[in-house]
Amino acid sequence: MLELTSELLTHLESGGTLVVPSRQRATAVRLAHSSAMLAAGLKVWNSPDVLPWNGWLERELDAARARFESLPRRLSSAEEWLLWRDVVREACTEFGVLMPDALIAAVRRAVGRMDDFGLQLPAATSAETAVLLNARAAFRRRCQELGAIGATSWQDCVEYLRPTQRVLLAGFPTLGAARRRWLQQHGVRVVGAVESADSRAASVAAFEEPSAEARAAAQWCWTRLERDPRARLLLVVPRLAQQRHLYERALSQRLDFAALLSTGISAGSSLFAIEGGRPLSSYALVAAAIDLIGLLAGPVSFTQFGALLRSPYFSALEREGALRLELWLREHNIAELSVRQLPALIGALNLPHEAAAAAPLQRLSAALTSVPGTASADDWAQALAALLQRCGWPGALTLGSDEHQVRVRFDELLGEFAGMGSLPGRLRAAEAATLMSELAQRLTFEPATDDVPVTVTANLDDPIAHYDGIWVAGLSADLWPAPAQPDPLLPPLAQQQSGLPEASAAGQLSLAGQRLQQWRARAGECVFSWSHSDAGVPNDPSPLLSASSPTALPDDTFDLPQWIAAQAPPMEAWVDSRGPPVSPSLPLARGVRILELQSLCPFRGFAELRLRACRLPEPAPGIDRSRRGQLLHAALEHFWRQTRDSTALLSLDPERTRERVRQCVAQAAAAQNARQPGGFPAELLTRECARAARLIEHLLEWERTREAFQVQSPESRLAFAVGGTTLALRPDRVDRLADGALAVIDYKSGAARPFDAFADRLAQPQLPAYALASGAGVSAVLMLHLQSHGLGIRGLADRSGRLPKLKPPPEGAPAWPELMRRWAGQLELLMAEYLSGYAAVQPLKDACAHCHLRMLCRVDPQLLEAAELAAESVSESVEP
Amino acid sequence: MSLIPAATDAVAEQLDQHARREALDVHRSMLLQAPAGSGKTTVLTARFLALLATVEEPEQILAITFTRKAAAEMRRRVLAALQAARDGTAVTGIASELLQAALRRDAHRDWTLLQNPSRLRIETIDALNHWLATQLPVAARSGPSLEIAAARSVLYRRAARRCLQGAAEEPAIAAAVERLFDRLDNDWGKVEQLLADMLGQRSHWLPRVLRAPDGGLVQRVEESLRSVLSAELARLVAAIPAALLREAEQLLDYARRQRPGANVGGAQSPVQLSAQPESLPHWRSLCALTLTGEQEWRRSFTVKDGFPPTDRPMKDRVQIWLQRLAAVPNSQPLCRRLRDLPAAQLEPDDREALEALALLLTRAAAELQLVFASGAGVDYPYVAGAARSALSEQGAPTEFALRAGGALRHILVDEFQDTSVEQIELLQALTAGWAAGDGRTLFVVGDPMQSIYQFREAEVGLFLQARDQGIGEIRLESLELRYNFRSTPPLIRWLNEHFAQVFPALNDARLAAIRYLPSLPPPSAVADDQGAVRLHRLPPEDALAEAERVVQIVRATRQSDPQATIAILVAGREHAQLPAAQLRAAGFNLRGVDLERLRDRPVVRDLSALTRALLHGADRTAWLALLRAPWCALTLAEIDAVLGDAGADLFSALTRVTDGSPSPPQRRIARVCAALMPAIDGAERGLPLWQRVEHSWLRLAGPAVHRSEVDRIDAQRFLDALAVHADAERLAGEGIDELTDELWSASPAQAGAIELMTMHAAKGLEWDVVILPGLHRRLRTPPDPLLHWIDLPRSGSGTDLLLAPIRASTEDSRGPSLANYIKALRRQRAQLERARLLYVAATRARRQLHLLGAAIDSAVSGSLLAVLWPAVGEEFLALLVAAAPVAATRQSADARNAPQSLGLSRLPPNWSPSAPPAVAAIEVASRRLRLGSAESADTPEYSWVGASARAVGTIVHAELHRLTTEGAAAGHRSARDYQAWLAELGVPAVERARAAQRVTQALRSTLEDERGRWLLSGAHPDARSEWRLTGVHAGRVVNIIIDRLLTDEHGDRWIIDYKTSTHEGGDVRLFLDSEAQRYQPQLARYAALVEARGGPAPRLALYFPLLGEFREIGSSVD
Ligand code: SF4
Repeated sequence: MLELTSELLTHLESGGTLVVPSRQRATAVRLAHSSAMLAAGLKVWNSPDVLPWNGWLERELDAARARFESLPRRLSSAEEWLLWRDVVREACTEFGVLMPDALIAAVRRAVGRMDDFGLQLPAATSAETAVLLNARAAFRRRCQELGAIGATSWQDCVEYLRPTQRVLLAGFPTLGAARRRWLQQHGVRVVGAVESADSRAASVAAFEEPSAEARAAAQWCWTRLERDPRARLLLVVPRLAQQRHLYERALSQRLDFAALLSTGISAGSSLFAIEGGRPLSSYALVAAAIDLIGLLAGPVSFTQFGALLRSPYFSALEREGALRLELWLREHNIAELSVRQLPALIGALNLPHEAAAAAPLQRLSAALTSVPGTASADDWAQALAALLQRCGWPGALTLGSDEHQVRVRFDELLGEFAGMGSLPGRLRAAEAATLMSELAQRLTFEPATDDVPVTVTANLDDPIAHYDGIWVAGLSADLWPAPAQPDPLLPPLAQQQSGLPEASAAGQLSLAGQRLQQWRARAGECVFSWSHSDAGVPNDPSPLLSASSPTALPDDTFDLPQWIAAQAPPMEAWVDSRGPPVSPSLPLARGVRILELQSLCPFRGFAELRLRACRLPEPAPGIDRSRRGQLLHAALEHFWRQTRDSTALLSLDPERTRERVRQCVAQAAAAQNARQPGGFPAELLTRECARAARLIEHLLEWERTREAFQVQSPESRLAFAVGGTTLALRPDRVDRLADGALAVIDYKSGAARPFDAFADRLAQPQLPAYALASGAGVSAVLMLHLQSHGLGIRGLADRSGRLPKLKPPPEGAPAWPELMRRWAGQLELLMAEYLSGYAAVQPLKDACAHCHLRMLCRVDPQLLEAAELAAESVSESVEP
Repeated sequence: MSLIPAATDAVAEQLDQHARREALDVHRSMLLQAPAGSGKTTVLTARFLALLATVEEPEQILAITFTRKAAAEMRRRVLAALQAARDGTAVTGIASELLQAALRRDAHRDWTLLQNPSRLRIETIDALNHWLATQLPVAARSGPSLEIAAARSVLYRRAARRCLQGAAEEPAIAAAVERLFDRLDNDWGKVEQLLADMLGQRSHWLPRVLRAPDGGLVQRVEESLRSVLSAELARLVAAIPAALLREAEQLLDYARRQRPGANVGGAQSPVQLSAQPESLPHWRSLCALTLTGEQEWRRSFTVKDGFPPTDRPMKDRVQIWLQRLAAVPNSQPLCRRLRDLPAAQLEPDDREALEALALLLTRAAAELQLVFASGAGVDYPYVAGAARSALSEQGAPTEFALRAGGALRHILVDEFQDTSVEQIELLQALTAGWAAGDGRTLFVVGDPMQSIYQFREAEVGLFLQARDQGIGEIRLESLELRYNFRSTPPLIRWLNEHFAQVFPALNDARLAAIRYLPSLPPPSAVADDQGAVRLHRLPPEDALAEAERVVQIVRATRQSDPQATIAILVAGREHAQLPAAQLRAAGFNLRGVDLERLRDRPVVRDLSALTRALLHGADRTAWLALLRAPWCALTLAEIDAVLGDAGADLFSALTRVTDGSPSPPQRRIARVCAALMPAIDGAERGLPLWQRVEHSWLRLAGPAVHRSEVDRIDAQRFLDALAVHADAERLAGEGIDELTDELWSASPAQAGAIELMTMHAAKGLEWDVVILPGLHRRLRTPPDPLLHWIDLPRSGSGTDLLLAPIRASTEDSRGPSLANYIKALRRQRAQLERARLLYVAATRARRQLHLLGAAIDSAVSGSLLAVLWPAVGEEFLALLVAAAPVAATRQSADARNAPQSLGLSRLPPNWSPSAPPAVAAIEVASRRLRLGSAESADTPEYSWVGASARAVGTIVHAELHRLTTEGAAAGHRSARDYQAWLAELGVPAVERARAAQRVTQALRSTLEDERGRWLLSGAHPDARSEWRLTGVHAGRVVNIIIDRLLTDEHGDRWIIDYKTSTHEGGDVRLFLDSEAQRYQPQLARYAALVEARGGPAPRLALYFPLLGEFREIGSSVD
């Protein structure tokens, strides 16, 4: 149970006002007060008047309205931030600061400290003080012009305030001298620091590392609550910003496991709450809204747009359609999108089978194009709200309590944005969108929680209320006492002289001691803990803990994963290397790819072709590899359609060859460009054409050295009967050679890989397949690798010298007809495997290196790596 | 046999003792060379303590260490020493007077260091930079919070992309990009990646590029090129006797004239072979004359070479000359080297390419700054740059530098051998203004023989430079430690004997070459003549044999000494896989440090699949993997049946499958759906990604599948990576692999485990027995960067900066070019560093060292064995080759072609974990004080469009409250006042006038309305306005505010709530009815609380100031 000192209780009961440092402390005091009232048997009572400092200032200013004819208006927090942003940016200009906005909070904090400690800085002594003083002066000037005051500086409000003796301040251990003086002058009492006599003993616990510390703290909470379900516990974690996830994990797994394992944890059901909040923009609901609004700010990356489409917070983007659209954009490598581009995309999607994908895009486009061009902040707020509404934000599902609060706060923020009125002036869409997202980023928000048994906080100040137990974690020597942290914007000497405790080692030491004392005094039971190491760096306990008694906590720390693992029965072995056979009634798509994949790894063949487990393409700028390959193929096809044989080729002089190549490439590029939604950027395509032309010219140099040949109709379809079925193949080219024999040619872009015609399992079965499909006359198969540093020629012919630069068959190689028979047998087997649904994880060497299916096939990494290494060492040792 | 004669030992002993003594002199700046095992940390600690005894404040001493761990350890040592001094106990290696003096100072100055250890400034260079940059956020031009981004490579890539995408806006940049695409095959992905890689290393090239004035970069490079060439040619001139050179000049001149087609170009300059770069073409001719295409001496000369068959005497002359040249020591390698020297001047195309690339890189760096500025976090070079900006302005120290440096009196730097140019500059800035003898000192410690961080631009030459020339204005006295306290005497002897042959004979800063400094066993060392070092020759091409040998060594060691600590150190992670597998198979307890990629661990694969499925509803691979994983274990046939025809939205498809009466597989699918539902469409969908993943994982019983401790830690690492990555929510598909790019699986530390790690990771550690397998493996060379660079220290001062853009993909990669020359220099340096890496690895051993390798007749070039070959080659070849493992062992590790699907495992289909007992939890929940939520429960939904109505309500309420306290006569305020108030409440300007009008109207009509005046009247007894009450209602504690409570003339108590709603058109009565109905529960709650305070039941009413309507509502309590 939370409790208050009798002094505070009496004060509140007598109707006095209690001012505390933060909203969270105010909540705790109110809860403690309620507990006391309930304990006294009351059912209803006057609400205690407990306010955080800023809330109190606001109320005093409201009250001043009655006393003053014209009171400057208070800036809303958005306005105030915007003003500070502008003045800080301005003050930083002369110093070329890269991130002036990162200084806004620091400037405001320093101004607060100056006020608090009565620091007088007549003139700037450094760039830092110059920025501070200039920004402060400019801020005051702007406020005067606007007839307004901000909340950053309480001294700016002083003349309007009339505090009374009924006000008590508690929990301000580092209250500056100037503020203290002013309060005293007005008879406001300040409850001082805890006396050492009030403090009880604390126990000290040490852990291996911070996650063990977090788990132990969670276990401690659990045990306390089991003993007394009404207990109220406080976990103080000084490095909460870095360790938040450790505590969230430990506490939710220990305290909320029942919900976690069933319906999931929701804000209302959790037994703990973490104080402090995070940027409003980091809540998924708001992040989605900001992503949408961000489309108005200019082109966005696919990453952002994709996230928007996958977000559950837009009911207008129905899930199936939005996912289809997302996949379509990936397949078309749309790496960047802008509002202007949307109509073109809708045009490209205008096909019956794409209707589901087109619908969300149409809705988005309609909503986005309905916003004004330039407008005031008020109008923009309306327009942004309308935009969100049109897109069905925040979705069709009922919002949880946290989500609801986040949503309300976002709405309020839109209100504040509107309220900025003329301050930002007339805004273009991009400016409005950027400003709104900045506002959401800088606003820290914490959904209010009900009274929870366990509160986690990074706040080191006096808890004010008395808890049943307080656990303070992370009290290691490097952190407790903390090193001196002078305010970077204030002169160090002035800080030390005015007694700013954080500014000096001595101040930090005394603060650290005082805090330990205060926790001991505010807890029924107090534990101080530390870890022996953090991220591999060894640690020692804070020297200030030596006075406390070491404790041995029970090591029955509960760990949910371990608990699940412990009760699990042994794993069962099972076998599954075969899927259902291919239905004979279905046509076989993907032609030779079937053989390729099945040969690389039967599992991969099954997964990609039967289960459609394809890689999710990641859009990136530029023309993607496959489209570049298609362009080359198409250009070559055009070329050989015009230039049917070697005679025609040799009749072309270099200039005409170049011209024809250029034309063919241009023709292929135009077709490729027409297929790309919105087309490719011109300079990219021009460069790609030049590259393709260069590669083709290289190839033609080689073609000119060949004996007479005639190109059979390029890229024509062949029916290949294999394994009792027929595959439709499309070899890149089949040439008839001078002696009437045929040569099958496959173009490849990319690095040349060896062609092992004699392998037991063929790594490139497409060449044998094309050869067998082309009939009996084939006497050579080859892959032409078109690479910028030269043509790579791999393949095999029935005899040496058939084609220039093609390596002769190795000695002892089987005769050509024998090889063809062997290939036929191998392909029959492969196809039979595929048709039967054979899907064993049985990769060829290297097949896994670039395979995306590792998570699905569950191939053993150790086995592979070991085997790969063995193979590597073989190849290494034969090198000279 | 020892190479170090006894007399040298004596000198070395003296040197060592002298060094240990002098290191405590707090008035002098020094450089201490401290080889492996020499106990340098003790020396550093002692000096730190000695300094403490002299300073005014402890912060005046700054100690810089290489890692955070080292900083923590040194801090511990200092504190432990102080504690020992206080306890009156001794500290090994540190005199007790020193301890006492430090302690006295602490007491005298009231530092209370033992209470306040963070006053000891012992930190890494990164932490120091961070402190400097955040102390001066403006001068450092950075901003005060510099958070290091978790996935920096993503930021580099983003900046590179922005740079390329934005290029079109500026012609010069566009041209530079064009040129680059041309060079790199128009491959966007490659260009972007290379550019991103350069950004990651920008601390090395950017300052050099920026420092050159406009257009001066080419000039600077050409100047350097001349200087480098002069040095290279001077070496030739020095090596070849002058007479031979003169003869060569005549022969070349003759050949030139005789060659077919000679003299076509008119008169030519006389042949001169000098150190002048201009003579390079003549040197090249010399090279062409002497060496064949295979780089061997030419055997005959033809007319093509300029020696026609008719001129026999000249042919004889050239033959004789070549024989004499060949007899000159080292002449062949020198001539070969000549071939690869680049021209003294850049070709116009290279110049343009260099300038374009420099421009582009500078732009990319600027883009990176913008990425940082967008709040995505920063990287270490950025922080270091910010610190430098704080300390120096255009090369001169800033006022802060002087102040900071002035505040510091002593600086100690550890691991100085791995310092970089940037770190030296930082030290120079900090010590600017220090003068000799002013009591301020710099003390740097390191072992250049252990410099192994060239890939991070550590420059061991700087160590030599600091020793010879000091740092900035500070001269450093050189001291050497010689004792090795770690290793046994025979081991030390072996190291001395062999490494002296492996290391270069002379120091050379330009080559980063360091000569060997032998160590001595301390006088106290116990002689132990057991075989300290063993070479193991393995069959070539047999990794398995090697792994087996490792197992044998470990087994033998364990048998002879069960307590011995053992480590296996490898040069590359991939070399550890097989030994690890074999050791595990042999039942040994193993601890691998950062050896296996996190993403390859089965537990992380399953977590990745889950993450991807949650992130993308149509990521089929991930969804199928979820269904195939052991918690669901669907067969391929079942998956095909379930998802064969599914659309894009796989979750919905799966959910649909489970409708109706389920079959066993459907039940398993239903369990998966139930586990994921909260995170997709349920209570948890708003949680951060890592939590959604972890909770789903637990619901799927993931930990039951992967049960080991390593699995648990790896799973946590993965989830932590999700938690710290700001953009994780936006990723999809294989994009999430980015998060674990640099993460490794971590086995937990276990007592007695054999440790396996890279040689780099072993630095600073020691074991009884160290095994070094894989020495014959060729080490990887990094891929070509976009810009090749090297900055060679010049003798005297300054550097020679060589820069060359990446070659075009169409270009021939062989032949002399600046890029190749730089690469060759880097290779040479890498080769020298390999010797040092081996030294680091070998010196980790206390008692025994095992070296394992394979070679037929010589070592594979580029391997560590090749480095060691001059010292062990003969001995190695004389060894018998170890036996190859038997076939059975081989089969088990060589199972490439056996189908692996036989090895699937799954959880029993009907098992699911039972929930932990939750009785107490329920009880806790039931007794909670639920505070504050009752108010919001029936507050109508708020939308900002209603902000103005809400503000009107707030003001009207406040004003009505004022009028009850001040009396109705006080009246309302001016419209202007209300407008200001409305502005504060966020009402848009356009709406303020109307809203103010509504406020005025509400107040006016209340004042004019009889009922209104009654409400406000101060005449009622027990009246209250804005009454705040707290109390228990329906089992929860609620807060309420009652607008007005009064007792009327009939003694009836009234609770009245003000409602500022309006109603236009329609039936007002109906509207009021509906409002009454809507607010009834709220008022009933008020009534309940008021009643609980005693007194009669109040009557309830709503008052509508804008409508002038009063409506009583029924008081039945809800
Ligand atoms: S990763 Fe390897 S084993 Fe798995 S499917 Fe791909 S190729 Fe086959």
